[in-house]
Amino acid sequence: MNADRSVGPTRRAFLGAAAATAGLAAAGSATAQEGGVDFGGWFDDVDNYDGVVDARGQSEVTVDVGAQGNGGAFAFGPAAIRVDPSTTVVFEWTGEGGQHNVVTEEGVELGSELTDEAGFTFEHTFEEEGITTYYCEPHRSLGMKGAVVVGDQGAGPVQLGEPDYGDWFADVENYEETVDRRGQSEVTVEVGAQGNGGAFAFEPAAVRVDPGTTVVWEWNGEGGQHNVVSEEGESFESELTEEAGFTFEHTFEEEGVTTYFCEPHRSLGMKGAVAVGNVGGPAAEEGGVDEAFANRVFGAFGAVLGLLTLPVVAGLLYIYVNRRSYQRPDEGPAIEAEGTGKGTVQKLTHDEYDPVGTAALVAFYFVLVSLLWVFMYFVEFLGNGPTVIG
Amino acid sequence: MEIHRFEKVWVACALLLIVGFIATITYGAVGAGVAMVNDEGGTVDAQNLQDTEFADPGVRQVGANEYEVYVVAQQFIFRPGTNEDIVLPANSEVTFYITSADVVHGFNIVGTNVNSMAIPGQVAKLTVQFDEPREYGIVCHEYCGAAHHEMAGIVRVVPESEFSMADTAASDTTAEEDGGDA
Repeated sequence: MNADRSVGPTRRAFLGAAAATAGLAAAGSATAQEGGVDFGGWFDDVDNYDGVVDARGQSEVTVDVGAQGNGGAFAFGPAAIRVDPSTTVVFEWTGEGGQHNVVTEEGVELGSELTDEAGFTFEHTFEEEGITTYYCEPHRSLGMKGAVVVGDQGAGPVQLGEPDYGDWFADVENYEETVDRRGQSEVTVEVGAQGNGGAFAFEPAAVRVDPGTTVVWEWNGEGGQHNVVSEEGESFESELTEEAGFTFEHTFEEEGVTTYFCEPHRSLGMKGAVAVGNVGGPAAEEGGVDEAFANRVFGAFGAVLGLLTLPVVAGLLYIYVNRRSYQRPDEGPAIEAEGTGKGTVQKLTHDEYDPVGTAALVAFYFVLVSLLWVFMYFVEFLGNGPTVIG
Repeated sequence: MEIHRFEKVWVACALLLIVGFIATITYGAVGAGVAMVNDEGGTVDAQNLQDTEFADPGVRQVGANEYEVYVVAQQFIFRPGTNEDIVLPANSEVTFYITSADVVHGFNIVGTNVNSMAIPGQVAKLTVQFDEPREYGIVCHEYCGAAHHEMAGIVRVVPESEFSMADTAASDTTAEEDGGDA
């Protein structure tokens, strides 16, 4: 996420005029970690999200579907709740804001009917600890999203932001974020997982572990020969093999980031990283946002300045090209005096005068209109099938 | 009043141009077969779409190469289209039946002439011939609310060999219809 923001400001900078407001919004929600749970940006566009509401100790909890928020009755109220395992969450439709439903993004499978009936309910009993994020299909883009946190997880220490990998993951398709595997003494990474256009991925691409954790890479036998070679950080190198079930392990003692790759498939994006300990964190994330924001503001300023300059440049160019005609008023009278000096003014009758210039101009307009018509009707309209034929 | 001979020429040209415009449009309707969307689709009760053919919208096969697609436009999705693609085989004649469940929406297959309003209570019926496998976007082009700009979908025209009714959206209805056909 950070890498993405800091890598691609050039094109965005030019679109900056439009994006400046978006930049402000992004800066305002740099971390969505209130309540100690990292929803990974899930609630960034949810107006009515205000931390995780603690509903532990209750056997049944009600969430309003169609609560006020997100520019209408397009919210779950409350957006995020924390419940004990084996709690039944009852979703109750308010009947406002049109048709809503409850569909899982990640976690426990939920799938309600799509309805706008007031009083309609849908319930689910959450047995296992974990986070379930869900949304309403029609209004997802408005921010009608919610989450159920089951158990005490995340209630303790604050989660960390992404470590700074530079642009290591810029070409790694299957990298989304660092998977937190702290608290485990052994962590497995799959070698040859699907991704990067075939079985050319490490899964997960990035893991966060505690110091002293052993990371075990396990080959699944797909995608040809792979190996695991460290780039920066701790140093290790495995055999190059395609044997399914082959494993290679390394124990990470020191805090820090180690990046590694598969030699044969590095160019395809078969790269990974292990973050040990509490590296990275909110500080790094804020820096990234500020930089991106600065780029946007600069881009917007540049765009406005450019737009203002354009007519001035065009005007100067016009004057330069037509500079001769500006001198005519001085020379003009002299020529006229010469002409009238002969004293005879010939009078032309109506049909004797031929406005050839005007005729040429009119002819040009006719040709132009005809061509545009042909282009619009035959090329743009009839040429762009399919067409409604019945 | 005297009219200059040049003026006579360009007045004649202007009249000729108008005749030309009308002729091309006539050609489009008669020769190229471009039809207008009219009220042929009939009306439905927008409040009770579950009692109509729109209860289970999706693709239905009605002939060898003929399909019907029922689409409900609502704030802010096309059903089907947005959450699941509308999948159709190439070389098929497809009749879209489009209505709205709430407010006025638009239905435009981007870059083509397949374009209609979706009005609550009114069914827009439009028949289209899809020749080549290709993916088309659908957009709503009538302002319909806060997330109007997000309201879009996909029509995926796949090679006939890859098409199977089992993949289409209205699986329940399809099963029944297939049974009826067999």
